[in-house]
Amino acid sequence: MNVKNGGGFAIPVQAPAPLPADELLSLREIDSFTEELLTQPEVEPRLRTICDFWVPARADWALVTLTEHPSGVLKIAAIAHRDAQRGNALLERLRGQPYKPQDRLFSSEASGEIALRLQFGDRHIGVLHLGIPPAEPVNAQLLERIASRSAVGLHNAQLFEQQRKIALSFQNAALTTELPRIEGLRFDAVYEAGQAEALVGGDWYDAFAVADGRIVLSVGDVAGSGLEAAVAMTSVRQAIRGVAQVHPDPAVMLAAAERTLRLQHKDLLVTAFVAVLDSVTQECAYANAGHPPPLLRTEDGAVRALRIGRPPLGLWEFGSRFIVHHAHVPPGSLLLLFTDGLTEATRDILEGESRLRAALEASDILVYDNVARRIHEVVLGQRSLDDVAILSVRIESAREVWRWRLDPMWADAAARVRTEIRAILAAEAFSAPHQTDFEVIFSELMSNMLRFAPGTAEVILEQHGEDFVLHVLDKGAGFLFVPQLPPDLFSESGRGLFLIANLSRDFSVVRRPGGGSHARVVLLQKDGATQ
Amino acid sequence: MSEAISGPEAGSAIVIKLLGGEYDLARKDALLEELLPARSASRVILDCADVAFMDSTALGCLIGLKRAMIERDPKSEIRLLALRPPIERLFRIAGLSKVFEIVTVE
Repeated sequence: MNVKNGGGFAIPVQAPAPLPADELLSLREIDSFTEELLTQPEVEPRLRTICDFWVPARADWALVTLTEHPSGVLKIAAIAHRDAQRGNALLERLRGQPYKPQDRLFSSEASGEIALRLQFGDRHIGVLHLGIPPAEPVNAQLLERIASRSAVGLHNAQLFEQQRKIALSFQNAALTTELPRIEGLRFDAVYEAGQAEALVGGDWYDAFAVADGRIVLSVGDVAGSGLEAAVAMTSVRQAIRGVAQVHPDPAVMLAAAERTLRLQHKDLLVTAFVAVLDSVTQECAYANAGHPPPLLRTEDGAVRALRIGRPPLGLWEFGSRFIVHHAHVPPGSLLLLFTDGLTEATRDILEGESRLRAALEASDILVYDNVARRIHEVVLGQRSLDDVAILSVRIESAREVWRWRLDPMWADAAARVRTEIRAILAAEAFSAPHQTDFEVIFSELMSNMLRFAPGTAEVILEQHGEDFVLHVLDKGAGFLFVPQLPPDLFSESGRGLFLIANLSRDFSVVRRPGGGSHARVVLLQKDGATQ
Repeated sequence: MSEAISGPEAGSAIVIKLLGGEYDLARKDALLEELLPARSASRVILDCADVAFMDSTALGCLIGLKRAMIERDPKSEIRLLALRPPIERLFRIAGLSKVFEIVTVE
C-alpha cells in the first residue's frame, strides 16, 4: 500500500497501530463501504461505489484510472464531482484517456489532490485521485484501508468480467453450429446469454443428422456458470455427438454424457434431453436426465409435455439405465426443446410454464418463420435474466420414399423387390459393382429376417441428400448386430451382417417401439468408396 | 454337373462347374446338392464362371464343404475358378480369401 503525494498534502504512511476508540467510526465506515462494494460483481458499479464513498461527503472530486493490459498505461475509468453534471461531462469527455495531473482538470477547486495507488499483491490495478478540501482532516488509516479494499474489489471485478467474456465467446463459438437443412423438416433455435448479475451458463442445444438420415436433437443445462460450466457443456455435448455417429440411441448417448461428466467434471450436475428423430417412420425416440420435458404440439394443435426422465447426470448410480420413450411425430407436429431460463424468468415456474404452453397452443404459431424466436418473444419479452436456449423442430411434410411390403418366405416376391430397387439405383447412376453390393445387402437382410423374424417386412428406399438409405422393418423378436467377423474363420454363419456393414457406408439395427427391428443401410453408390 | 478327373489322383480331385445364376438362401439346398460330390475329395476346383451372385449363405455352404474335407484330410483345398470381381470382393471382405484359393484367370 502506497500513499503518494500527488497534490497539496503530504500523507504520512504509518505502520498499523492499535486502533484508538475514535477510529471505531472509520472501521464501521470501512465495513459498510466493503459491503456496498460487493453487491455487484462488475467493474462499473464498483467504480461508482468507490466514487460515491468519497464524493461529495469526503471529497470534492474523485477520479479513478485503471491499468490497461498489456500496455500498462493508466486510463481514466471513473470521475465524480460534487457537481454531478460536471463530473458526468468530464467522464464522457475523458473516459479511456490517460490522466495528466498537469492538465489541472479541477484547477478551480481549492482542494488539494491526493493520489492513492490501488495495488493488489503485485498487480497495479490503478490509481485513485481525490480532491480533498484543505480544511478537512485526513484520516490516513481510513484512506489506506479504503484504497486497499477498492483495489481488491476492482481486481475481482476485472477477473469476473474477463472470465465472463471468455466464457461467453467460448460458448458462442461452441453453439454456433449450423442447424440441419432437411427436406420436410424445419429447425430454428435461439440462444441468449443471461444478463445482469447472472454469469454465462452452460446451456446448449444441438441438432444434426447422422449418416442414415436420422436427426439427433439435444438440449441441456450445466448447473453453475462461468468458464467451467461452458467447458463442461461442450464436453457433454460432444460426447453425445460422438456416440451418435456410431450408435444414435438416446439411452446410449446419455450414458456417454454421464461418463464424460464423471471423468472430466465430477462435481457438476447436468440436465439433458436427447432425442432421435426418424422422419421416415415419423417416430421420435428420446430419453431425459432431469431436464424440463420438451413440449410436443400435435397436428391438431394440442400441446403435451414429453415424458419426464431420471435425475440429472452426475447424480446417477452406476449401472442404472436410461429409459427410452417414443413419440409419434407425423407431419404437422412441432417439437419444442428448451432450458429452464424460458420458464423460470418470472421466478414463478408454474406461471412460466402456462405462459409457454399458451404461446405454443396459439393457432398462428406455425405462421411464424422462426418459431423458437417467436416463443422467446412471447414468453420472455425483453427479460432474460438467466441463460435461455430454445430449439424448435417442425415436421412439415412426409418424406417421399419408395415403399414395398413383402414376405421373404416367397422368394419370388423378394426377387421382384430386389430387381425394382436395383433398377432405381441403376437409374440413379449407381456403378455396377455397387448395384451388386446392394443385391448382397438385400439378400442378407432377407435371409436374416427368414431366420429371426418370419413374417411381413416393410422395405423402404429413401433418398437422403446424395445418399440412398435402405430400410427393412420387421415385426420379429429383433436381432442384434455386432460389426465383427465370426471369431472362427471356418464358421459357416455370422458373416451376413458383417458383409452388410462392409458393403455399405453405414449400417444399424434398432429395436422398434412396438417390437421388431428396423435395419438401416446407407448404400454406397460410386467406385472407390470402400474396400 | 460334376465330373471326376480320371488319372493318378482319381477320386481325390474333382472339378465342379457350378450351375450359375444367383445363390442365396432360397437356393441353399440346391447349392449343397451341387457340392455333394466334392465332400469326399481332397482337392476341389469350383468353376464359378456362370455365378452371377452369392450371399453369405452361399459362402457358408462353401465353408461347410471345406470343413468336411479338412476333417478327412487336413491338406485339402478348394480352388475357386473364374470368380466374378464383385463376388471375389465378397470373399475378401468376409475374410475368406485365405480359406479358399482364388484363381484369377486373365
